[in-house]
Amino acid sequence: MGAGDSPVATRGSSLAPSQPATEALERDLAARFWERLRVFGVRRLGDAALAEDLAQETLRRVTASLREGRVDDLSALPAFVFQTATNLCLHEYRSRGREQKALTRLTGMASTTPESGPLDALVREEVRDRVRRALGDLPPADQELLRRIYYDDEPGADTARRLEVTPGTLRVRKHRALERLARILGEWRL
Amino acid sequence: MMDRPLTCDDVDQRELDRRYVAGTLPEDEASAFEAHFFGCDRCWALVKGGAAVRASHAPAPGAAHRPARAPWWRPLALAAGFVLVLFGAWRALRPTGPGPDGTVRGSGDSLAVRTVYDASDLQIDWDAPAAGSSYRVRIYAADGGVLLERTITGKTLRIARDSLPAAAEKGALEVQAFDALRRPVAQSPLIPLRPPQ
Repeated sequence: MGAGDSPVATRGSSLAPSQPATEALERDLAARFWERLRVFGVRRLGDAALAEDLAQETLRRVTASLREGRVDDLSALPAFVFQTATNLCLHEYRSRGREQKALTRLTGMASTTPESGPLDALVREEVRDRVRRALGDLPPADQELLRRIYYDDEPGADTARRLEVTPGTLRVRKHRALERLARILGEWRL
Repeated sequence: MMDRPLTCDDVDQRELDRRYVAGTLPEDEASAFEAHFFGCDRCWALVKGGAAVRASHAPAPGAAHRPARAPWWRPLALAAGFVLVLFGAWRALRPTGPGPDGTVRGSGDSLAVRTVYDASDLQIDWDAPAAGSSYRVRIYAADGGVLLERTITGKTLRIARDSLPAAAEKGALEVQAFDALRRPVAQSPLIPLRPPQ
């Protein structure tokens, strides 16, 4: 979705909007920020369920602010959503995140292994399967490139040297590989 | 470095998407990147795609979120199972034993792995199978717990001896090879670790 596809992103400013407009805005708000908020939350709190709570509460508060006309400039909405999530995280969720992590350690059920990433907990098994199949439909060079970058966490300079391309070319290849993957996947959520 | 908002060019130059997905960005950079991708669909697509690629290669979270209480006998069963596995590996290896170069070979298409201790490091290397693309090395404690895990694309891993947990001395290691789609293609037997005294 491009920034221009979204009513949230394209409206320049707003007074208190009418009810139907507010509802459309709320739908758009969720479509645009739900996944980003979950990613934000799981990285900071280390728990997918808490991250979902944080995302819901953030959207609830931002929606309330929109309804009350407290958001003057909708072009600044992404920053407003980010700040609301940050404040919630700092003041209401961080201790719960710490408790959850302690509980996880205590029960010996660590949610990540040394080779898993901080965001892995967000990605459901059916989504992983779908992504695996989509990756399998990519050219082998794309598959290897994406694996090296995002799973092996190999620095771009190393990958570029190995593939005998410039870092700039590597970046272009990465973007194209991800675009191809997104096209194969169609509409999907983490 | 954090005085001005990030641009997409900063993201590309500093590979913030890769490092964010791997969880290796310092907190201030990670937070600045989040503030950026909340308003940038291009960079959000990198994070979303990168996270999905990474998770699709990683082990499933599986029981990680199941709040079941472990039964009292589980540690005993784990220990007994691991002793049996070690015993089996020892039986399988005993007739030939490690060769003069320290090579231990498994059966079938399993990986031949060599371990060499020098003054500072434990070096582990193996013969890469044709389809091998990445290799996961695990060191287990005697009770079956994973003490160390590394995934690399090369066929040699050096680990500083002073970074190995003490429990590794009575543990074992295992190397598993994966193809480009992260499907396992070969595996070593469990190899008991015997650091020189």
